Amino acid sequence: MGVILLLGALLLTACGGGTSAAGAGDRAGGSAGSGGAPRTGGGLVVGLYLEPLALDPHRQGYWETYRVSSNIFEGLVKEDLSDTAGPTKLLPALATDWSVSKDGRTWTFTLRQGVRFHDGSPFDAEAVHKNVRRVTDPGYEFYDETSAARLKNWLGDLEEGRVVDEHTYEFRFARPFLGFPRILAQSMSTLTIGNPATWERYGNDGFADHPSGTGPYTFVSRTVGDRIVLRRNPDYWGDPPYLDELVFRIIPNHQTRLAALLNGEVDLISYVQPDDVATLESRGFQVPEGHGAALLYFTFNARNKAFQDRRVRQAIIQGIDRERLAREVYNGHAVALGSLLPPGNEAYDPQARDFPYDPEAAKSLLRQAGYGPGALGFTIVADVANQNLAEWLQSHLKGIGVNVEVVTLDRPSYVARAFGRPEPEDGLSIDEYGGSYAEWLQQVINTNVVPKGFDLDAHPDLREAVEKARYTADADRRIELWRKADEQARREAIAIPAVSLTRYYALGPNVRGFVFPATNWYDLTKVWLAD
Amino acid sequence: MGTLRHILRRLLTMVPVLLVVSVLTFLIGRLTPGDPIEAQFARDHTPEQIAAIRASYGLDLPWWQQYLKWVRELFTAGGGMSIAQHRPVFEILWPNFVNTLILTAAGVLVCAMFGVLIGVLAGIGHRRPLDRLTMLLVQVGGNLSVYWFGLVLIWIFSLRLGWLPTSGMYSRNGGGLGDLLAHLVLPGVSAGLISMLVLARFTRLGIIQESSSDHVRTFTSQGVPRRILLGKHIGRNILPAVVNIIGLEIGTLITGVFFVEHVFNWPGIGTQLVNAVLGKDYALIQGGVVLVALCYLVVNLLTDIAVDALNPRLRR
Repeated sequence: MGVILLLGALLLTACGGGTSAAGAGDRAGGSAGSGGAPRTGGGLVVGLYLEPLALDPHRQGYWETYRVSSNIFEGLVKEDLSDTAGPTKLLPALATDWSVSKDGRTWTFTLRQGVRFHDGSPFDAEAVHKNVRRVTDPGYEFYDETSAARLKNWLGDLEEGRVVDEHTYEFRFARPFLGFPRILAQSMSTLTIGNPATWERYGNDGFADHPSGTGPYTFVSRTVGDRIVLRRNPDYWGDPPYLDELVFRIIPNHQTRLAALLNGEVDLISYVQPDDVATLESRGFQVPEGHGAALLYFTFNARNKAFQDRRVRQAIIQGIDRERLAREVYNGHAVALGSLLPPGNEAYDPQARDFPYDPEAAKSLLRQAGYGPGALGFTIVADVANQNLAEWLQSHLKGIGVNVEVVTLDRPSYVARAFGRPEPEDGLSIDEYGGSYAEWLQQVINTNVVPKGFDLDAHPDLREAVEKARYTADADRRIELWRKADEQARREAIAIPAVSLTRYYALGPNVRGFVFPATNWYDLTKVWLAD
Repeated sequence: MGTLRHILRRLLTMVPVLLVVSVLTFLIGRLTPGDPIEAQFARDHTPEQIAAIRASYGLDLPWWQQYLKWVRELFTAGGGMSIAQHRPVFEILWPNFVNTLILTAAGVLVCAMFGVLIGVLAGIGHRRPLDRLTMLLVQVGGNLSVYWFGLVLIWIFSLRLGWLPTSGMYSRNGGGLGDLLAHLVLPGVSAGLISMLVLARFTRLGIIQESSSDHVRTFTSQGVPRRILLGKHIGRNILPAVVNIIGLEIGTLITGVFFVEHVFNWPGIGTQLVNAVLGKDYALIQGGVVLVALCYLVVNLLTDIAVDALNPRLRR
């Protein structure tokens, strides 16, 4: 039968008219040799592990979406994506300059002149204003409730957005907001600039089918479940990118994505599995070492009475050896974390530690809280992608006399149970997220800790520390205040920061110019292909 | 005329089947845990906003009303709106459904060609080494997981030999029938594998039984050449059964194709449905299942017609 299959395969390949068997085709375009100098031309194929969500600047979600959409859309401000350590520098993007009033409430942006959207419409203060109105002003014909909800965290305090002149725009907030420019440079849930002419033509729902921005690449096509194709924007205002075309293929199956890279069908993949790093490197593929701003962390179900006791939360933290977790679950391709502000975050403090691994101290704390050996039991709820991690925690926590059950669910069921309706015995859930802005700490508290039953009113010191940092008008002390808030959060043991992955992308041997930046997306304009 | 009436009757019986399928799909989606609206919007929406979004999809209505609304939308609004993609369901599913049909057709081709070939070889050489070897392979192959088999094919033919692409439907530069066919080989073989083995077994059995029937024995004693016996008498007699098996196997194949799509990243309806199930995108799941069920029924009908045409004795 094998022979027959082989023959069949040969036969049909022959029918293929001699198509390059690996499907690799022409890679780089141009005819010059490789050398060290960047070459223009060619197309890069990226293998994504998730289907991106809407290619709409205000509705997008998930990192993989932004790794695509950041080539189409830009913000007023951007981060320096050549920075591998962080915190990244802020760079001008669609705004060339910005300033803040003394009270920290009014931000004025000078907009870049001569920029056009992909359809030729002008980018000016009026376009920015329509973007602002789309997400804040219910009186606007194209006000989009879905987008407004996503941006409420940052624009909820906006009193007024105002066109000062054709190239100047002003935001006035009810309270000081010194973190605003860095938030504008983020990926999701911020004011990335879309082309108003497009939603005026296709409607709010139709925008994602005709994504139009000012970015270095224009949208060509999208086949859901298969690929998204972008082409170089010939009228781009900034340095032109090297590559003619970007193709994003959606390959959720880890083995298939790896095989596609090994076979030369894709040039760059994300979410490399720790077990595959050695294979890739032994075959000449590049697996850059670095870290994004994302962290894996565990949150408590504070509706479970056991976790309303700080001693229990601290005991669980002290009962987990995060260094060992990084070694055993991620083959050492991860760094252990001791704070919810991850590397890459502007308030990251490498010295920050919550509680050190100390199983004896953990057992003692549990005894003090009334749980002798084997008395505490709970469920870890994880999405299926984190099953191995949950099982590792299960066996590990036995060491401090805690009995854990593991429930793994598909992503929506996981979210609905972890965030919506946890079972009474649920104890921990596993999440991944993170940003390079200090306000991320507030975001993680508001979107992940409080929704799981943590009563912020019962912890006035923490609430006060966060508010002080969020609404400070003292630029010199802002980071210090966020670190203080983080210290307070660590003291209260509100969650368990775990690890940040360090070998996340893999590239073909001929890909040049790729940087693994200290953010969760990358810059493809500097990437080129050697022979 | 009789045949036409038979077809019409079969078409009519499809209606209650589809009705049952639609009710079951609808109920199963609702009875499983997880809430698509909360999953999509819980992080950054207030409870009031979530309630408003839920209402906009009609998910706040009693179940029976939701069901009727959906059935109405099947005919008038492209199967309703996908929660995750904010687009009509059939607009999303159609292009992928065509891709699934392409892969299914490749699977059917593999099944029909190699299934018959293997079955005939084994049947002719009944109880000889070739027969035993073939049946051993059939036995082993029948227990293989399609998922595992697909990965092994990728490993051998793509990574080791470098002959064929690992995944997707087109290569990086895309286009061309040849490119598509090259991408079809491995998923097609994986998709057709199990059905091919089933067909091989039935074909072999058919040949063995027909070979020992009275009329074939008579022809043999009269000195009719074995080639003519096989082609004209045995072949013709087992053909309706073979067509019937192929028809039945297409149904199995369509569901098996979903796993194959996952392994080979084939942009078919299976990939869409897996995404929809992961996202509990009700309208998309329901639309997909109805589409597949309809396809299944149409294939069964066509098989019946073909078997009817091949075997006049069955005509009513």
